[in-house]
Amino acid sequence: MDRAEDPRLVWGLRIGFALVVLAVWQVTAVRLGENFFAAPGAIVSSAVALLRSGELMHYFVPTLEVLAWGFLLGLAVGIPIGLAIGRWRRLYWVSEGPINLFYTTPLAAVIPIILVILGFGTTTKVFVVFAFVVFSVLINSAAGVRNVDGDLLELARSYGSSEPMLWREILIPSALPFVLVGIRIGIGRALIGAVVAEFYAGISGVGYLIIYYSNRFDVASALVPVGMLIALGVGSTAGLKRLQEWLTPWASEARV
Amino acid sequence: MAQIRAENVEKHFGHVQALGRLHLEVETNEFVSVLGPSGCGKTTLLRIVAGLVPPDGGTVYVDGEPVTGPRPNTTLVFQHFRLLPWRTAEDNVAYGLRLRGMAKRQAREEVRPYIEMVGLEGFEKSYPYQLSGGMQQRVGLARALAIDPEILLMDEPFGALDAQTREVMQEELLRIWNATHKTVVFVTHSIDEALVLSDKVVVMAARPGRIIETIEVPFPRPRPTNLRADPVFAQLRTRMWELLRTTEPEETGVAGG
Repeated sequence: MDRAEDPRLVWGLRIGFALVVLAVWQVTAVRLGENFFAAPGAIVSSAVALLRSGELMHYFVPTLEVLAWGFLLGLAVGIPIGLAIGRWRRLYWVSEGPINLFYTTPLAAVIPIILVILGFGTTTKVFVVFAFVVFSVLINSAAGVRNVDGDLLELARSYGSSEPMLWREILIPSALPFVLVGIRIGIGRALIGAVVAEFYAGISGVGYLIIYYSNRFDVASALVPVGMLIALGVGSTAGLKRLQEWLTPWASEARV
Repeated sequence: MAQIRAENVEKHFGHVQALGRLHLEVETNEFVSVLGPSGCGKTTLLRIVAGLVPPDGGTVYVDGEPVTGPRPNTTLVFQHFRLLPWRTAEDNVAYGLRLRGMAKRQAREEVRPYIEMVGLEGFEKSYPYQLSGGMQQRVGLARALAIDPEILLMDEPFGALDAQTREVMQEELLRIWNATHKTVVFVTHSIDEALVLSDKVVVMAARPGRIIETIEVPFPRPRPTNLRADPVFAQLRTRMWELLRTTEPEETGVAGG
């Protein structure tokens, strides 16, 4: 940068660019015919209609519940197991292969099998979200502990640190930025997991809503829940970034 | 009886003999510098005395007892400080006390005198990344002093600092040592630093790492500030320079052979 950033200029350009994109989109959609190519204006009026009738919230709340449960379970299982794997080499040796195997398995491909085992209820959806989240959190947590500065481990040893104090003073703070990265990746994967599970398991949630309106060629209405999911993803990622700055100031400000 | 006694200490890394049957004695409250070129095993010697690595042969005794691991009466000061990036200066200084089970608030109270001793007032709440190298090493030094050890092992503690900061820190260390009288083993490759600080300088040579000469430093304490202008200083400096130069490994030498 040759000059200091003027926030008014930055935001002016951003908003201007967005307006141009929206205008081009609106014009193109109207010209092509709105049956297959929803215009921004049509999406907004569909959103208002879906909100007024209560339909959107009716389908969105169950999805949120599935997301919350699956996500929290993923963190509750992934973080401690990941930290333990990062700390104890034998555990790492044993688990490295299976974890990579599960992580690379295209989970969407096994959802029909999970349905057979767990049925068409909420359990399946929660489990799918959990499965989408747990490995990214686990792998990043393990990497965080394994990446600890060896010099600090030696420092702890020379001062006679106990294992609990080693975790508290060195391992956990050192792994924290990695864990947060795992959580951020996990948010995106959780959203994918929830929607895909609802495509299969049907009759509730925004996944069902998207399928329902798509089948009726009502693209504008189908895009409303998609927009909600995007907003949810963007919002929670931004929140996480704030959390990260607050929890790990040394990791972000150290690079300034 | 010497507080630290290394007897026939040997250490190998693969085929390289890092230390060969080395003998060293350090008296209580003595300030001893270990001077040598890089790769002469001086840091290895310090790590063995600290109990961080076991010797392959021989024994180190501290207070007459063989060293088998890190001891609570011995602390290290490191070249690259090794502060916890996620802790403030005062919490870094309090690290040793926290490990001994002291509550955070009480530990912060206890370390106040050490923070003042090293001149860190006003920086208690700063994180390491907000401090200069010299200030970071003040934290490192205060952390080591805060558990009130009998022995301080210092591994080129000022080696990562610029020349000016280095001299300031040497003066600070002299002042602190005069006030606390620890037993100090100070590893350095700077002749001036060894002469300014020490009662005794142990000169090492490489391959295998061994002590080739022990030189008593005759200057009174507290050390005069114009020490470097003293003709005896220049004399000792030249002698050590000669010792280090003649023991520098030959270019044609069989490295690690």
